[in-house]
Amino acid sequence: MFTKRAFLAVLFAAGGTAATALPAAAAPAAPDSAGAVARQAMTVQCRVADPRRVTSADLADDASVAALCHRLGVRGSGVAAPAGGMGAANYVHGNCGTSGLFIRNWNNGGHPVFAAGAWPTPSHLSHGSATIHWHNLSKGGRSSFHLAVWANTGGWAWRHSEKHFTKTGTVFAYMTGDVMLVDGRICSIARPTDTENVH
Amino acid sequence: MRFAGGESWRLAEDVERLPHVALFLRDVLRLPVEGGPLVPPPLALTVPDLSDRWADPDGAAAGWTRWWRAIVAEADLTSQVRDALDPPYWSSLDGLPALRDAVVAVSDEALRFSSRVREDVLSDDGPPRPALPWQMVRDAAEDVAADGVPMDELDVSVGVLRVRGPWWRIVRPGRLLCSADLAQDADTAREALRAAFRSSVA
Repeated sequence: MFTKRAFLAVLFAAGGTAATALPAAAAPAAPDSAGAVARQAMTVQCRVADPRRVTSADLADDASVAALCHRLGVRGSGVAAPAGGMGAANYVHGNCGTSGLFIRNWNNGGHPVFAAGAWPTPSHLSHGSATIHWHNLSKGGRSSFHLAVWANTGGWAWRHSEKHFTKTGTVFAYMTGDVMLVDGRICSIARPTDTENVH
Repeated sequence: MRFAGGESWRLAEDVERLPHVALFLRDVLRLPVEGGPLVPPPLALTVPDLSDRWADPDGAAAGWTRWWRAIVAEADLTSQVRDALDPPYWSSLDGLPALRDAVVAVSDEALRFSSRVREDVLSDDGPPRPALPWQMVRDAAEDVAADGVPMDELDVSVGVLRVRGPWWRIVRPGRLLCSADLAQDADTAREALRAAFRSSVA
């Protein structure tokens, strides 16, 4: 972990003073705090020696670092943040099929719905398990929940939606897990991710 | 998903709100944005004409181009430009005041529009609705791998935009930006996918 973290040199400059610590303000801002961040004319840079070697597995136990680098575009097989700062990898394809994750904001006081699915293509799905991990990047909360994976009617795929209380703010989530196909082969869920402003 | 214990290519699709907020702004205010290789066609969805909301389209257009480049190509990694989606004041765009004020003028509609775009790809029942079919992606990855590239190095992320036509661009190595309807033109889609996979190992 330390070695991977060493790839990240986070410079935080405010008023010409650089600090090596990652301040809380460097995490992705909530809608109501982003303006304050901008007004303080802060410049945040995330220097990654080789972004493709940094995965969410390396970062996931440090929400601040994960949030910052997610926002700044670390990509690859992990955090997978495209440009735009509100990164996501909603559908992830690989040689065993597709997995997906969406956070749906329902404007109901911090209770988004996590919609997830796994669609193996070479063979039908038998069973498996998945875990959805979420971080509230604005307020610092984080948790995860486990899901049993069973084939839907027809035996070809799994899909599940579940509401959780995350508080309001910018919520980032990713899914991990493994599934077994009816022919006995095992496939890993390729970490789909999503980020949404939850109200 | 990937088979356990083996190598696999990878392609991730995202449907982002921020690019759609920017495109909505451009289209509803009729901003005179200069075309360029990174600037996509108009939105494929019908949007209203809100050009009476903002009196300085030229000023907003200049800022829009900078904003768009930052959004899609990481041309600027400073938080002020890239961390938008901060209604209602959009203070992240303070450095581009004409653009900021234009965004504020249509903020509610833009956010609703970007939510609608995301809802369109969610599937409450039935199969998933990725823009790029799995078989098409697999074929493109295997085509590139046939040139001797290890499968694990083929790693692409795709930003899907609800814009007209079969439009696509490689905005940086391994990053494809494309229209949601790209796959309807199979030849163009295959060309885009092969180019994206090749760029990911360049």
